[in-house]
Amino acid sequence: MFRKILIANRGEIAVRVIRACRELGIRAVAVYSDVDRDSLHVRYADEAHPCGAPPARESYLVMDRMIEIAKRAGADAVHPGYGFLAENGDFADLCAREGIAFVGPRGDVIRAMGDKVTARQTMQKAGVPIVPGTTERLSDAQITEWIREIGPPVMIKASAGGGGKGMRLVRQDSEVAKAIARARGEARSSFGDDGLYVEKFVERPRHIEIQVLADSHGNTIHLFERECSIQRRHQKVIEEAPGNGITPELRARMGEAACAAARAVGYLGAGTCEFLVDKSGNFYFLEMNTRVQVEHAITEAITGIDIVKTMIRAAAGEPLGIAQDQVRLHGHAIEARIYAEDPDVNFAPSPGLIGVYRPAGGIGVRVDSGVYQGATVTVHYDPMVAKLVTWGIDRQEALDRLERALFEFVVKGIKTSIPFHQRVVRHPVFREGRYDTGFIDEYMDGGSGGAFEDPDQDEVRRVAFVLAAIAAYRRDKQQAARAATGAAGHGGGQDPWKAFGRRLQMRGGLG
Amino acid sequence: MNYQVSEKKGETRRICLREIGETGFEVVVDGQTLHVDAVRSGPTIYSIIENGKQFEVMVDEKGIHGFDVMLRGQLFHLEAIDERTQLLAGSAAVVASGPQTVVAEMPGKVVRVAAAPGDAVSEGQGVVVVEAMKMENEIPSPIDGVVREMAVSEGQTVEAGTTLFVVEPPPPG
Repeated sequence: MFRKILIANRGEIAVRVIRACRELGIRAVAVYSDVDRDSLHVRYADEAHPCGAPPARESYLVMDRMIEIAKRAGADAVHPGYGFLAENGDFADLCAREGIAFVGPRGDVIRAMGDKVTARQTMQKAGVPIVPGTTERLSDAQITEWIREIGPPVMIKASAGGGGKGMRLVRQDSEVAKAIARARGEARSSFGDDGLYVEKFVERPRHIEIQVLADSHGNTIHLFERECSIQRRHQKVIEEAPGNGITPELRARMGEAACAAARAVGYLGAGTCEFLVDKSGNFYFLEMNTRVQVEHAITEAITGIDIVKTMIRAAAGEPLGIAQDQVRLHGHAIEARIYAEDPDVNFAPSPGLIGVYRPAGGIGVRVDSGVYQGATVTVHYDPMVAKLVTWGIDRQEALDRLERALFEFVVKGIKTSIPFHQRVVRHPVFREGRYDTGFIDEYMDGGSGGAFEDPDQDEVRRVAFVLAAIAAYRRDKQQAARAATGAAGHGGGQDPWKAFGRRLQMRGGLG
Repeated sequence: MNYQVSEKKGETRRICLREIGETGFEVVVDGQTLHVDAVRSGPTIYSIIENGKQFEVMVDEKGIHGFDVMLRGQLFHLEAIDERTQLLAGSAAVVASGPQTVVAEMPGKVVRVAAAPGDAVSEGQGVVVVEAMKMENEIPSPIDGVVREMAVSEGQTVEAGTTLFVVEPPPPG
């Protein structure tokens, strides 16, 4: 087993990995940019080293510096978390060359899965169903030709793509030329690679992904599925496990396909195969994420397996120690990603100082977070503040618990997406579990809708109005007091406190 | 002390307050007299107990008279003005007039410009998309009007405070 691991990341995932290290008796080495000296992951680490200026490309993305720090600290492994260097095959190669274990698959595996066209070819060979479409990079003429043959709707996608970038839906032949130009432009600016391919568009798909674990002894298992269909602008916001209406039979078939995909590339560690599932229950391979996922905690909740510890053990050459038929699905788990953004103003980012932080707690609640009261959310990195995960014996209980936990969770100083989550969780369509990736656009008006009526609505309104008056009164009184102190200090002028008092007497009569 | 509390584009209520002790208030609203205990923890979180019912309420001051009040997952945009101030100010309704300059609230990169000078835009309509904190953010027009000036172009990096665009109310008639 490793003696010391460098965590080449920050925020909640760095905290998550450090927790796993401590439980395994491994010393944890943190890195921090100039704005992260005060971050939680630094406090939890055994060692911490500065890694550069705030912009990620000058700190958390600098490969040579990570290697240099790992060597200086004597770390025998690097855990990349997610984002930053996690899916950078060159970084995995560099670690290998420098004799430092990379907690994840080999560089060539990362590259094979990172290029969507190569991944589609590999999956097709392994017998994993892929979305009907091309398995080559295409010229503009080829794309036009293909669409003419198959007919819209189709998706034009960037080969190097991800996160919804370089992706264009074509519903009519007339849109093709413009869509190609747009997708190529976006792909070039986002990934430095303008290769495109085409897929049949799956109408209103559900997004179901399978968690996979693989060791270096030939064992590959899956930990069932997660449903990630609640998305805003292609970003996941709520995930749950197991998926809605996934039968044991479908679960087994998708699990086998995911394991076949992992075996086909010689996968090592924790990975995720993402699938689209259509209305008839057909599933198609979308992509494989070669890292620990943000939403891994819901799988941990329903299986009891520590995914981060398992991937560290696998990287150290240890066997998984659990067979497929020993993996049990117990209960239901849901995750709400709480972002520093204002759901009331078009989800604008809301960085700043967290004045009050009171996370939810109690039975069945897990909060993974990289912040605390007094911490600052900076503009430089991902705006996720916390992952709120609840577990219940069934979906109903997990949902009730999530609603309860959201009620308790207080973050002040910055705006968060907590009110948005409250609207989703109370929405009848979400409650019934009959949703797909179109849910937020169709039922939540893109995120701003879905308002619910409180059973005590009249009372709630009245309390809001009364409180506004009380807050105004307290503020006016405080201002008057402050002005009075100032006036006294300067020995003269009208006494505003007295004026306020007079006003109070004058207007204070009730009714 | 009497306050006029009004909701943006909504109702107005008259609320009379009398302070009782450290945290208590006698409140008259809608012809009813209530006894409210309002305890503050931190600058902006209140615990309200009224007739035995407890509400946790969060308040953010917005400008001179504005208060964003959040409770039970609902947000109310309210204005609370004491009646004397309102009398002095004449009509309390201050409507934004003239050209409105919209600035970037944080550093980022302009990824899309959705309107050009002369284009008519409505309140809340996205005019510029800025990428910041790894997210694309639509910057909406604050008013119904016409874009007078587009100060940025796609691909441009902006700092907090950089002017993005100027929009003016439509010409009358």
